Amino acid sequence: MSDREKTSNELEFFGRITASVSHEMNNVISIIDQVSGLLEDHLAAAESGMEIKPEQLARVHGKIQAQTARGVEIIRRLNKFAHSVDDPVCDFDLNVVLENLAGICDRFATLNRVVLLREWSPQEIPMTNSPFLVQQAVYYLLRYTFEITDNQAEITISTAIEDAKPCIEIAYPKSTSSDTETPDNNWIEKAQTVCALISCSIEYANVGAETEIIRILFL
Amino acid sequence: MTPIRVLLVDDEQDFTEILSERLITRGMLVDVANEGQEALKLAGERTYDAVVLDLQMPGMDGIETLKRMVRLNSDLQVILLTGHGTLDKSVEAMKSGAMEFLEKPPDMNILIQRLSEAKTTHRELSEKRMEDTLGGIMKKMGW
Repeated sequence: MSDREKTSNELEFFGRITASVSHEMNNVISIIDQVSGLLEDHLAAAESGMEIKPEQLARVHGKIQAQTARGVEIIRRLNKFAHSVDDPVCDFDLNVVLENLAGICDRFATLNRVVLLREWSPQEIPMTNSPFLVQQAVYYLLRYTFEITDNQAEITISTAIEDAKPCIEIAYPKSTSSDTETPDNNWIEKAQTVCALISCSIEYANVGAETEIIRILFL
Repeated sequence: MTPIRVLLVDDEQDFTEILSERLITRGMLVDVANEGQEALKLAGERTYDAVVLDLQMPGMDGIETLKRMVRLNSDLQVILLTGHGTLDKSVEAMKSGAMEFLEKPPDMNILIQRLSEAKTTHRELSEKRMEDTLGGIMKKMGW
């Protein structure tokens, strides 16, 4: 793959993430905007002689507080993600990087009507690699599983150390529906291209008749 | 004056909860659906002057919901809300039968104005359809 193609793929990934996060932030702002309008309605009513009840104000306060906390979390995740391009290669804890990515990917899961579960290794998984490219590869595989599974499917991303090497596993139930969509993006091919850059391989396995697993093994 | 009948469709429950409350305060009759399938069911069962529909929702997205709603009732006036008003999407929305395309967060005054226009258009279309139907029956019966 040429440098230009690599940069183009990275920008596309970065763009997809920032577009999703900005949409999520816009939803938060839209709710706060409505709550502000509701407060304005209460004030207008008060000016015309109606009483504002404490519980009305408490409700408005609760909504603003909840959306502010949601917004802070969204921005915190975006900030961490944005800083993952600071150094092409650096030391990081795989669990921390993937927890942040999973938080960002929750929205994609929701839009596909599936649930993303996490099972991080209890011990840290120190790595020296590109955190940005690791996220890019995992993102493609997650999007693939979101699209090929049935509604309400539970997809689990987990980490482990195997033979002293980091390992990421994505387990998902096999689709039983005939109308599960075929992914319109070549997620697997894109993931393989990224994996070739960060010294890891992708393996596939079955657990029983109902669960499939994609594993990313670092060399 | 009869109230404007509105269906709000958005998966952000706090958004629909507060917006519906504010529209009700302004004398409108409001139903809420938090996903496309639920919205289609309501649109099939009840009569609305306008549907305020979020573009991006889990499962069936806004454009697909819009297309199915218009197939169900071509008089329905649908206002699409979007957090990312791209030209492509707005063209697709208008081609699919949307009355209007507003960016989120919507300006309340503009939204109310559009809802009022939707009511007028919807009722004119309904009256014309009724007249056409009656005219057809009268012609058929030779009255």
